[in-house]
Amino acid sequence: MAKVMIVDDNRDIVETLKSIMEMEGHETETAYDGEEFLERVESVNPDLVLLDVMMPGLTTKEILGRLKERELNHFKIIFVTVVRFSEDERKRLMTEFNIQDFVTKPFNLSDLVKKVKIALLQK
Amino acid sequence: MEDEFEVVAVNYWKDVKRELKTLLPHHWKTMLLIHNSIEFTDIKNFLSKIPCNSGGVYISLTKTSDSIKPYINDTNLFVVDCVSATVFEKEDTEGCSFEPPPSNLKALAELIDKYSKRLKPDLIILDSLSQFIDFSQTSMTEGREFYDFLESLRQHRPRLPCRFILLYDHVLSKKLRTLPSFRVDMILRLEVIKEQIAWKD
Repeated sequence: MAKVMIVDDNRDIVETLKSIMEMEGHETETAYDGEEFLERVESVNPDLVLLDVMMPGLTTKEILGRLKERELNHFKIIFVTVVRFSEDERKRLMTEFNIQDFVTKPFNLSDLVKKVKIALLQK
Repeated sequence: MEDEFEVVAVNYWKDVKRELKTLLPHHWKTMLLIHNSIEFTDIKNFLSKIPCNSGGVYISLTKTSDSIKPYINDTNLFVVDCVSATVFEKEDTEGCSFEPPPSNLKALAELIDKYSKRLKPDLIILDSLSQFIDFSQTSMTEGREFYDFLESLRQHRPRLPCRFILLYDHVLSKKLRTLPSFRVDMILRLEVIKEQIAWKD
């Protein structure tokens, strides 16, 4: 069992991901924008974060930058997003910001679950 | 049990495969293209059927310009990338501008106005309207905002001979309950069917 923090401004998506993660036996916490996520991430201390890209408020660039400044890199991050990146952009995000994987919305349940399992197994 | 259900929408669809060559060059100024494809190549194939002499502007709300660059190198499309700058440091190039994502349809209309005045394109493609509206469940407020947006596009017409293609992702096949009944000249549905082909010996 792991602690998974779900960050998305769409409450339906948050509820869906929460249900899926809890069915997989994980504990969950939620946040609805970047500010809330950054305020709470240290106290929540998740093993994995499912993070939306392009939320209102703080940009993803700002969120990832602040995580780097605060040296918060002990948890894994999976982007769950409608955004399509190129292969080079994915590689850059994986090496610079510890992004483990990408799940494209609308997401396939088994793809999401598989990627979460793999991410949690990575050291 | 049947009494609990009421008809909320009736949509008529027509197969226009054979008519595409005559339909696409003419007869419309604003098109809503409903599609089920996540691949840019399918959209590009469709766009290649539309005459575009002065060039087009492709406003991307969901794809980074890097992700579509290999597919548009042989086109005369200028890309307005409203995605990449939220994740990476980016600078405008000759064929691409980076903008913050518009937060609502009013901001989107202003963005369209900016690039139509600057570039005077034949065609403006918006990818994707699904970021702002869900035709399976549209509230009164969202519907009003959407019609205001369509009206703002209509007001461009006297000043600029530009056509608009509004892409709408319909990947999950949710019911299309609230399709616009006016201010859109044509609603087309693009259905891409992909299967694994089994070859027999």
